[in-house]
Amino acid sequence: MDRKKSTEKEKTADGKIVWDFLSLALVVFFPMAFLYFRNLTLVNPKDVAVTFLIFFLCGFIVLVAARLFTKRISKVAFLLNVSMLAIMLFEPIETRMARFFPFIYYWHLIYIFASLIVLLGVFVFMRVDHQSVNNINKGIAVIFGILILTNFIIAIPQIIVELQKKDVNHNQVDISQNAINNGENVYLFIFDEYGGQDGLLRYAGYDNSSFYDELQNLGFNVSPHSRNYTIGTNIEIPNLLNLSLSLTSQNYTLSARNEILKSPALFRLFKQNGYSINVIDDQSFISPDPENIDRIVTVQSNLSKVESFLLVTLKNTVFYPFFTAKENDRPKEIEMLFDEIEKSADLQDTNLLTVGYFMFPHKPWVFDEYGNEISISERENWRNPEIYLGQLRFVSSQILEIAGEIIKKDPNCIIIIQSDHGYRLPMHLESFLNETIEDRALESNFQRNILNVVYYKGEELDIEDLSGLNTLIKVINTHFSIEIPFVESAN
Amino acid sequence: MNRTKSRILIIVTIVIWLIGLFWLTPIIGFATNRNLKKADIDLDIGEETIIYNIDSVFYSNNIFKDVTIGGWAFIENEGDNPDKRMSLVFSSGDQSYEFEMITIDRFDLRIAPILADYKVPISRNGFEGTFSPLLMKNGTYRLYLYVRENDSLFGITDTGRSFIKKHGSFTESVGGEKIRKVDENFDSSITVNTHFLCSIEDSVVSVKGWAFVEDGASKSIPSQPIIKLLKPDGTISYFSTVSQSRIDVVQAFDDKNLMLSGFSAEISTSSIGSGDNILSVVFDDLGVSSYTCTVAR
Repeated sequence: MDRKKSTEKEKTADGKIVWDFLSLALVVFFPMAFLYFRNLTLVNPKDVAVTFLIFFLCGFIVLVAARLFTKRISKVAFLLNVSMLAIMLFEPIETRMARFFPFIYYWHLIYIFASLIVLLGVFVFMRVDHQSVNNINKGIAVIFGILILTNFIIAIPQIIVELQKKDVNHNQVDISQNAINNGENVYLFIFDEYGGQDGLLRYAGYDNSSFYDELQNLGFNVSPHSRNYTIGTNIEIPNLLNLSLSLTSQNYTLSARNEILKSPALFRLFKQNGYSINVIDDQSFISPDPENIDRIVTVQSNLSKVESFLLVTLKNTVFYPFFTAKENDRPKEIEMLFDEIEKSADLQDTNLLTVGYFMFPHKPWVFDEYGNEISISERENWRNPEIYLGQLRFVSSQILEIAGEIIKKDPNCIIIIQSDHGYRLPMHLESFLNETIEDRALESNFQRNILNVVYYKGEELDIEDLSGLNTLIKVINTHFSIEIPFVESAN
Repeated sequence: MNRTKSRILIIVTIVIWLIGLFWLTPIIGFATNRNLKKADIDLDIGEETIIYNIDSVFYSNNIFKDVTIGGWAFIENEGDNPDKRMSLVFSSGDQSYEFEMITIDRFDLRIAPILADYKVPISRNGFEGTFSPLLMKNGTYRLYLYVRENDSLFGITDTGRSFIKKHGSFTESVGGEKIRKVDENFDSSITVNTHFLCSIEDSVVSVKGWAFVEDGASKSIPSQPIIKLLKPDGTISYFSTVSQSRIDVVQAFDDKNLMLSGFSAEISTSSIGSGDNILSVVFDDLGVSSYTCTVAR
């Protein structure tokens, strides 16, 4: 009889234990759901799953360890839920508290949280019965379940838009045309957020014509007024490398973008014409399928990428100081990337396509115009265009130096240097600093004004006012003697 | 009895907890080697002129809000001073803190054209130091530079730069605060010699230049220069400046007293009027510059 009772009790305990694990899972998932449902088009669900598993497993291990000692783990689960919330939302809590209590620093908050959790632990273990704590865990699971559901419901219109998007046609370009070429090395360098002449004048009052003059002295053809079709890097770069307007803001999905970048038309075209493909990939932005290329250089681990979901999540946690410190590596990374550009000129004498994507002069701004590191507090200062201009001028001097070196080594090469979009000051002032854009169409024109210059074996090539994509198509058509059609101009 | 005991225990625990909270920042500072050293340097010591420049002030965003200051400094001599010491001294009333810096070889200074007329010591003229301002008391601090070439050659100089520490924030004062009252009973025998540039940058009027007072053959900086703003509607306002070292001015006028003749200010554009705004430099109760600079809005 006693044994029967005990077995029933164990069954009930096992049934209740589900709530303990479920509450932990939902508490851990909530901050991620909040981030994910607000950034559906930017975040890969796989990254969310990996991040969730990392955090959940930490709590899960503690609970399983507690289960080895007792069947009743509700009290441990409850304390774990509270601790996980404090750990995962530490940075936003600290930021908000600092507004009201500016004398409270990072360590004070850890001290306060740790004390509160110990107090709560003493109270729960001494004064609250197991059944009540299990019910609290049920309540926590329900509340966080509702919060996650609410975030999901808010995101439903966006989810519907994403689901209704038509499949993207990846293969809009006929690359099977008979091509002729002499195997000259080709370099395509994309510098994120490098503003064109008009945008720089409008938003920073900066005349960059001396840079264009110096490029012309090196033999470059320049188009200071070129505009792209978008200000979104995620749309522009897949299109550029796929030699077509495959992605638009209407059909864009993260999976379509990733699919295109696995094996874009540009890589396939050069491959089938006997070229090796060398990719310099800042922030792993391009991430091509390794089978479709010959060499790839990345300079960041997953935790050093500025925009990875795991890093964004970690930077909200109590561990944020360790991951903020990772960003201090950015100046070194930029220097390494410039070294890699220079090295690419020594890899092969002929038949090499080098494609480099560089997330600069895009923020974080780390250099002044002389290459000195600037204060970390200025790294995202959109209020002062001088900060952006400092990094832009530094990048310009490096471009001139490296382009000069490549041309000296290989005067018959082809170098295309572009940006994906211009200096997007209004967009950022609106998004982050609540300023309003009065004439969106007008500002869009200036924000789409890009850097667009081409060295074509020292020869003249008319790229005046062409978009970045049409410029690349023109270079490729001339180089291979083929006829890829221009995309429809938005200019 | 038991109840009284437990009450005492709770009170003792709370007191210990509060002491822990109060002493946490110094404990963290000690554990991470970010101790504060109260300065016992006399700010008036030494007649020696210190030639210096602060190249950079770097604010980190780590949890200690570390600040790194780098530059170079020396007292003229032709020797080599391997045990040279340099410190940053932040002084606010009777509260002063000293942060010792590492010294660095800066051989470039010995061939720098701007220092051609100086006896630059052979080595250890560069400095760099990192400190956490979180442990400092709140207040406005003036930055001094202490240089000890050797036991007989040492001094301290006012860099003219001010920093405001308020809890977790440590920022440099940029000038441009409105001054209510300025005495314009100017002495006609005094000339304000100045040159400065003004422009509108990022919603502030940025003013940068140098200024000093000439009274016959004597040149001096008797007080902080003040910016006088004459608006298009005829109204006048005055704004504060911050000082900077200008070794080029010392060289140009061959006068070491002009080391702190540099100044700058950032005046809010909301303070200027529509049309041409004329800026000049005033030394309180002494004189106004004939040189002006105009910004238009």
